[in-house]
Amino acid sequence: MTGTDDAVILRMLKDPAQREKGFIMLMELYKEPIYWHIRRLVVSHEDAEDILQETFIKVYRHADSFRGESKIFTWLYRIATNECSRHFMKNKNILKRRSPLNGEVSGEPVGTDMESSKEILFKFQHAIQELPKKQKIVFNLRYYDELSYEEIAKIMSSSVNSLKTNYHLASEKIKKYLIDHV
Amino acid sequence: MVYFKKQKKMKENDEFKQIGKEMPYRTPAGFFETISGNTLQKAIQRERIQKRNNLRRLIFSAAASTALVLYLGIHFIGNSDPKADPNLFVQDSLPINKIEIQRKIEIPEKKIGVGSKKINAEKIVEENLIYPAKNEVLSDVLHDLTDDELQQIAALDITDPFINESFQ
Repeated sequence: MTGTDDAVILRMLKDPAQREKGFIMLMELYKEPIYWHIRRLVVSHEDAEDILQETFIKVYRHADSFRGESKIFTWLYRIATNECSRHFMKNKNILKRRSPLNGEVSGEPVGTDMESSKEILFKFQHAIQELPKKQKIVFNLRYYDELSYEEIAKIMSSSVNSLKTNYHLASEKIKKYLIDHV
Repeated sequence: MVYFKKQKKMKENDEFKQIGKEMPYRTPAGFFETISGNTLQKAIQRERIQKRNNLRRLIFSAAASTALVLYLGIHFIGNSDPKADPNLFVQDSLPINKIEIQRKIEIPEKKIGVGSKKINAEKIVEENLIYPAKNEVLSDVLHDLTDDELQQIAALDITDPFINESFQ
């Protein structure tokens, strides 16, 4: 995704005649990374689908207010992360009772040694789900999405040093969890 | 992520090299093919509903404002002719009545014992102020009398059956 593509999509979104076409282009480019970002946070596919749709609907409705000071993907990640936080707040009690990976782990083989790979992936995801919200978001954005700390800082409105500390704490907790459970 | 510029190889990621970045989650078949169209439809529908709601809110607020204006008009402007409402004349005399009532309220209550004497003295002073001519005559007469005459009058006050009837 280049800056030129961003500019073109943004211009289309702001033009009533090309708005729908621009929206489809935007979704085609970003739906998968945003979906997986949401899914890693909320785990459930149904919840992830709802939040994904809500994120893009917000972009569709508020494209005029986007001033282009940051990249579109930063804006999208920011909206998606906020929507996830709202989801956590709204379903606080339900999520407490629910097991983190209940029925959401794939039965498909991953890697060569099927059983052990599957088990370690499951444990790894379990360890991530056990993290506090902020550490979980930072870890996912850094580890899976490979975003720089500066980009994560823009998404989360936080300082780089705080994010580094959170990532470090998260990885230490995950390591400890894996040592204890694998 | 193929969508973003490759980041500099992160040192932290080596910690979990053996685990990799595969996701153990599944998605329903054809999910990514249909989600764009579905979301667009939802966005259009949501915007239509929002516009309709905004229009309804506008109509409702306009109707409410009109009703309020009409109500105020009937109650205030419609009765502006004083002949039409005789109660308006009563209003002119209301402030005077209010002052009179306030004066009455300001009078202190009668106190028992020493205080009551003071109040009685104040009353006498007030009466003196109200009827000065009458009191002047009596005081002049008393002033002119000698001590003997005054004692005679005092004795008469006790013994005279016409002045003090309680002796009989």
